[in-house]
Amino acid sequence: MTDAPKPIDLAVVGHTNTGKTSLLRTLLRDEQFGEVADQPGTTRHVESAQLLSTSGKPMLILRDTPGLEDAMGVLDYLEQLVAPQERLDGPDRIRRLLDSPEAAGRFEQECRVLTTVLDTDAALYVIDSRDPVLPKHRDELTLLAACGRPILPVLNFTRSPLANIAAWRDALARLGLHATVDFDTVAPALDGESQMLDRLALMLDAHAASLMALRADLGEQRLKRLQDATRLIAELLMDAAALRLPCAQDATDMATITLVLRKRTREREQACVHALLKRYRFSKATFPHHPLPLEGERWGMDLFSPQALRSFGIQVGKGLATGAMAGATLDMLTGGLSLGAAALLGAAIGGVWQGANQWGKRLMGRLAGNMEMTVDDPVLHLLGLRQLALVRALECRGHAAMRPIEGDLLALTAAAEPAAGAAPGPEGEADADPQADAQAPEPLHRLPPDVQTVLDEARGHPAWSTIGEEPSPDPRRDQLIGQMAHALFLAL
Amino acid sequence: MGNPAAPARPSPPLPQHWRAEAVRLREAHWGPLADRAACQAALREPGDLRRRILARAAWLAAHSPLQDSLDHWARGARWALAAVWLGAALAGIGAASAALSPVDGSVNLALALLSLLGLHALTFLIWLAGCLPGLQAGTALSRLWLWLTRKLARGPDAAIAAQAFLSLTSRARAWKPAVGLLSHGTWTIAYLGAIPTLIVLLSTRSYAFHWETTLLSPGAFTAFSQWLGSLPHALGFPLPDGLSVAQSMNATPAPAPVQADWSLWLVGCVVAWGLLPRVLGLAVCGAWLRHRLRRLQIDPDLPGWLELRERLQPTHESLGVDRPATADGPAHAATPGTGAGTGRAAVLAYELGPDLPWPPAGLPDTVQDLGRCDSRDDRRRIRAGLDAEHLLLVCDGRLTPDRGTIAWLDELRHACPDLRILCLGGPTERRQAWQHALSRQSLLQASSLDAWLEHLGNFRHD
Repeated sequence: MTDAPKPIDLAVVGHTNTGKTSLLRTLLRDEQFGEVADQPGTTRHVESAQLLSTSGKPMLILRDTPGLEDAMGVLDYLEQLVAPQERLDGPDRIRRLLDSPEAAGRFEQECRVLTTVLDTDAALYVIDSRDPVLPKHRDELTLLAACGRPILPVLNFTRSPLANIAAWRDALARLGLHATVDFDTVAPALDGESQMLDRLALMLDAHAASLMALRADLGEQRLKRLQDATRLIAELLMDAAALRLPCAQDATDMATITLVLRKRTREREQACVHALLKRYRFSKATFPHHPLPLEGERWGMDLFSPQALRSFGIQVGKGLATGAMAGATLDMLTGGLSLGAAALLGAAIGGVWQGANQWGKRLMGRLAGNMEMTVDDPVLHLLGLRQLALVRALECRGHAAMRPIEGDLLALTAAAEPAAGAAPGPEGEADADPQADAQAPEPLHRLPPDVQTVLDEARGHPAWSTIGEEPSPDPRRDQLIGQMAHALFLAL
Repeated sequence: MGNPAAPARPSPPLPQHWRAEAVRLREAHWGPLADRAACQAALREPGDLRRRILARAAWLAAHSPLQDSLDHWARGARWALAAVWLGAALAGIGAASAALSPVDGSVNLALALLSLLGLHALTFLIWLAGCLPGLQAGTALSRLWLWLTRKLARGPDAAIAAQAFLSLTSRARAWKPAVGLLSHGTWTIAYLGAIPTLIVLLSTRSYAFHWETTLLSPGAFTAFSQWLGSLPHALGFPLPDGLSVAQSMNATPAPAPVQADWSLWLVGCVVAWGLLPRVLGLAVCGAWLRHRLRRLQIDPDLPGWLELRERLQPTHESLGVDRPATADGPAHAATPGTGAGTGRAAVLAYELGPDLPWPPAGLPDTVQDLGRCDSRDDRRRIRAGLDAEHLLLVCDGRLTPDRGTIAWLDELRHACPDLRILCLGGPTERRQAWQHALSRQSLLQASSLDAWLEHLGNFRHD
């Protein structure tokens, strides 16, 4: 962006209640911007925001305007203002209007919009594609065209079954507007933003380079978000896999420890969900029904319930399906100790006080007949797959969306319902979001093998779990997290 | 010199990163701190995310007891280090005097050398082995120091301070050099205590040195002493020749010059094989640590910092509002239209969707159909031809009512005294929006075409 001292200035205009503020919310990735309601005239002033590059430079200014509501009235009034024999071009006619007394009166709102458009480089004309094409829309476009700025029509709510995109395209073509862009503010296509920028670059030749730089920057930001997301998931998996709780060999103690194990794992999952939402700039209200992941509430299904596993297509062994200890594995301390002679030697040579200390404790426990409890493999897979499904859902969710993500929906889109039958196709998703099945290339039933190997190694290091008894830093842990995040990124 | 207690010293990057790490761990354990002001302070820094993370952590630490506890811990660490070093010096003095305590009137050279260099050689080899790649570092000594530090710096955040230091150094892969620095430093101090003790004892007391063996041949000790003495000899210490070595065998005291040679040989061995490797190790670890610490960097991908990216490197910023919105336009009072009084009735379709039929079925002939009114031309036509007293305007409930519509309705009301509006279809929210817009203008609604026709009939009867 070194070649662009001034950011590109865009006005977002349109009829009332077509989703102008929603478009800004989605483009800015900010759920808090402006005010959105299914009501006419929610935005009554011009509110602006600018997109910043990764280096913090402003690249694009977006101006949210009030709706154009009375274009017919404005045009009628313009005919009064400008005598037929006067030969004024578009912008001059608009200036004449802005100088008139009604600019502060009946047409105050329209004049705000027109002033903004005159000041900007181009206008995005937002269309609710569910609306029929009406003469008033044509009048609005006539009025906007008179400002002498390029207009890019943006078709909103294109994913709605009521959308009549073809009719709109036809009508716009008749007005000479051939470049349009589909951008559903509630569920935008992944490349929606870049398509819009491509079209704008065609219209704004002078800014084409800046727009392409912006496009590259947005792509980078998206990639960074994805990487961060997989990193968060890798941390979660590491914490859950390395979690190891000592437990005595009697039934009540086992039950108590199982509960502790589950509670810690659930809370850790919830923390990961919050971190992901934060990273994607969604509020916690995206999951308003699930304040805490307590029994069977969140995602519609509890982490440790066999149904939840099946819904993701994870093979469930017999032991897990029943009993109070579902999801936890008793380990005879072998897993933790089978580290191999090399590491043992290394520990001895390096004089790993702490390691020896821990092993000593655990050996003592073993001699006393104690055991350790860990999280079962299928549960780890469920954890990972769920978070991946959440990331996918967040990726294609607009910041204008008001409805929370539903957990069941996630499960459906992540796995093609093996429990429901041997249906190989995604027919089971009729009630799921239409974009979600186009999104997920193929449902994963297990985490990638690379992740599995890392998890196997992590099981041997209780100190790697930050929710464990004695967490301690280890460069090897960081290295494995990086590996796992990369494998998850490839799986996304 | 960057010793392991360096967090307290103002070597620029380390305290900053240590503080940041402590804040990160604290937030990871006890949830996020209230950081609005901290983030604002950080945003004043130039655009680099890493610098902003450091600035935020600095602000947070300064405005919480954390900084105090870090300082406290650093002080404790220095005291602990001093204690360890003092202990080392005393141990060195003790080892030197113990090595020179004569048994049966003379000192066994081999045993004295073993007691002065044996443990050192073993730990030095272990350290060397620990420097092999892939092996964990962490000597008993460093653990002792950390443990002592924790004891000396009691307090709620003391654990965090130590943990942060440990996790920071291990992530920067600076733990090995730091630990090496500590252990080499300790051994250096020990030898700096031991060597003057040796010199003082050897200068002020008369010792008889001898060596003895049962298993080995006498030649073995000669070769051993020559080999050990070669390095000190290179440094200028005397090397006892074969004759002196042979003379010193068994308990028969050798002549005084030979004893002097032996004492210098002993000091030389301690200097060359004890002090020298440790000083070299100290220098290597110092340079190594300095190198690592220079490359100390915030990794923004770590949990705790990863979530900060959005706030510390915002992808957008608000530019505010052009000017405040004006108040709602005055609600129109019901101004009775200057109706023509003709008693005629008409219906009009306003922006009605093409899927809805027009004119409606069951419309009596007495009611005039004004057709659809969508465009400005339609409006013009209707303005010109409207002379009805009763008008029913049928609109599409799927659309959103706007000010243009309201203005048009107001215009129509002035032409027709009895204007009613019928909304067809549409979701509940939109119908409510219509209801709200119409009632604000005191416009009356008809519930259906039949209801309006009935109302028309009543009107005529009156």
